[in-house]
Amino acid sequence: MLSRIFIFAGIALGVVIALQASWAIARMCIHAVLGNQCARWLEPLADALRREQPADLALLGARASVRWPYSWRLQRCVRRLNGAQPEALVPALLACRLLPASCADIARAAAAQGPTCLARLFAGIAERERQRPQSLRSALAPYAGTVITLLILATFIGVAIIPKFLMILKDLGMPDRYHISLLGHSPSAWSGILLAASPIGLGIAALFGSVLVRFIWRLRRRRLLADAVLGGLREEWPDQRLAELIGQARPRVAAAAASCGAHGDFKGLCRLAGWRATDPAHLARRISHYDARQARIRSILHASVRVVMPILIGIPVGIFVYMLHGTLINMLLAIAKDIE
Amino acid sequence: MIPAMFVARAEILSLVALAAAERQSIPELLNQAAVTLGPLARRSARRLAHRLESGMPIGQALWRQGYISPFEARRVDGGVDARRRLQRLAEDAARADTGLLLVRWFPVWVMVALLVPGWILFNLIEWLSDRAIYETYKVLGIAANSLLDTALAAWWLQVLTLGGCIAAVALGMVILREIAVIRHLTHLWCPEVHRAYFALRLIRALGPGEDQSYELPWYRAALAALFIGIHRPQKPRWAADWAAWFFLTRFRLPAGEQRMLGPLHSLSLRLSAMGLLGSERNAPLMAEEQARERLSFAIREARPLLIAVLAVLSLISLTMTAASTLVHVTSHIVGGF
Repeated sequence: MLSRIFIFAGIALGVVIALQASWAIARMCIHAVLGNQCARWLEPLADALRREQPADLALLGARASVRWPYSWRLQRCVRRLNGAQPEALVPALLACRLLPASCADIARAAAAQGPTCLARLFAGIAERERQRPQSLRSALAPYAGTVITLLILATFIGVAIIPKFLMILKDLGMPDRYHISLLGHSPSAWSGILLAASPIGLGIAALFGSVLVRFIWRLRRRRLLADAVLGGLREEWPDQRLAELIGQARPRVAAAAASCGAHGDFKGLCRLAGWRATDPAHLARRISHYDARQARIRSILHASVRVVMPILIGIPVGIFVYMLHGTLINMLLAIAKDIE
Repeated sequence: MIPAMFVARAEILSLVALAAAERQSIPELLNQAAVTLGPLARRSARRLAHRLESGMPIGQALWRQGYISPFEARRVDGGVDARRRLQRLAEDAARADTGLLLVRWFPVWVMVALLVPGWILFNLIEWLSDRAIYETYKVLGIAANSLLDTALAAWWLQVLTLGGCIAAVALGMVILREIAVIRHLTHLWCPEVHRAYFALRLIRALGPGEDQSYELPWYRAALAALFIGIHRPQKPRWAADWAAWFFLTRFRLPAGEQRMLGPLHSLSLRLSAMGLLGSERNAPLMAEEQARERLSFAIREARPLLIAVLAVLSLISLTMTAASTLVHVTSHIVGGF
């Protein structure tokens, strides 16, 4: 029995290792840039831009502290920066998927306004990521761990316990009232099910992750532009320069932004950037309200996931336990009746 | 007797750091603040103040009290930025992040989660039902398996068995960590945390005399003689940490760069080449802060999964305890499955 416990502990460790390895594979399939990783190179990059140091050294230095496949992407980006026809920083970052595509316009706009503006944008993204209490992976990991452990348990029960239950039922001449035969399969069938389920699960995780990460980056665009505008206001940029920034970041409204800039219409510029504000102080207030609301929504989402996920996992587990215990109790009652 | 290291470590280190930062007399501040502390902490603070008054260097005094490691003590006493180091030690103590303990010794916690909840439940059932399981087994003449035998035995034998199992895993881990190549198996469940941990250890190893070799303790010398130890004679102390960290950064650097690092014998050169150390005057401290932040982030990310696995294992332990006896009795009545 003790040896079985050691084996069980080994299986549990194996589950954690398998999860980490699966995540490493799924991460490579996620096309979008993960925020928590992106902070690792954007922060030194912002620092290098501020100090007017070469960007490639900052990118090379970040390789050892990021996960795969970002280290390879960083390497590729450095090659692009130092190639025979050196590329500019932002296009190289975008081409190597080190900056999310949804931030392309705003990054180009910030780069056009000079390295200080670009450094501010990168530092802003990195800072926000650092302040994020928990990543998506970390939030979902407990549920993934629980589901995998439960699957392994269900496999064990399906292979080792259910066939014995079915034999007892046959011996006692009882019908399979709770349909536990549905759960009992041969070891090869169970391993086949698990083998088929793993790549499907991994694929769904990668797809879901990609879509979600892209969606999150799209939501952040408006906030990033607000940061850039606020930074410009702090440096006392004229309205024309703000209009230029907004126009480059949102090419569809470039003409309207230029017109607002020419007329000194700050309210119009804010509206084109996606905010309703009458003056810089008002804009700052709106942004801080927005941040507070986002934090509230995030905490509500986290709380909802914490409530909903255990229920979603609990329903099949409950049905499973009901079938198993129902059969066991029926068997005990039949045995008791026989003894009487 | 509670060891001093567990008594108000964070408070006393903060007081020391505060006094050092404000350039006040440390013993004086400790004696003044002692009245606000609890009885054990007060005694500890006064003992530390007494040691400092007798002329003992601050690092050594803190080490004697059990608040810091001898390595840290040497750095506090010998370093040029002792105030900053004391501040960092106080911050570390105040944070008291137990996550690293969870990650580094995860297999031990797995054993604890598998054995302890079930054992407690079993003993609770036995105590509440007046040894009903034991009596049922005796009446039905069921031969209990080895674990059940242990659970039905005297309490000291139960504790010995449980403690033995947990200690065996811990000892196994300690041995594995001392053996080259195989040691990497102990990093697999959280490679990210281990990478950040070894990076932090490497940065902390920076300092005067960092590249000098040191005398190996007997067990490490024996393993080195067998060519299986991670520590080698004539190698600096950080070499083993470097090997672990470098392994965990595999596939991140091109092969040419990896080969290029081999001939560099200085840790600071290697860390600079890897981008972990800047060129500023206070680069080691900045790098240490960044590495600490990276480690705490990695731990924060890893913790939910590990806790979930431990929680599931505890539930399995509880369920198996309750169900195994029931299934055992049922199978005996039916005549064996």
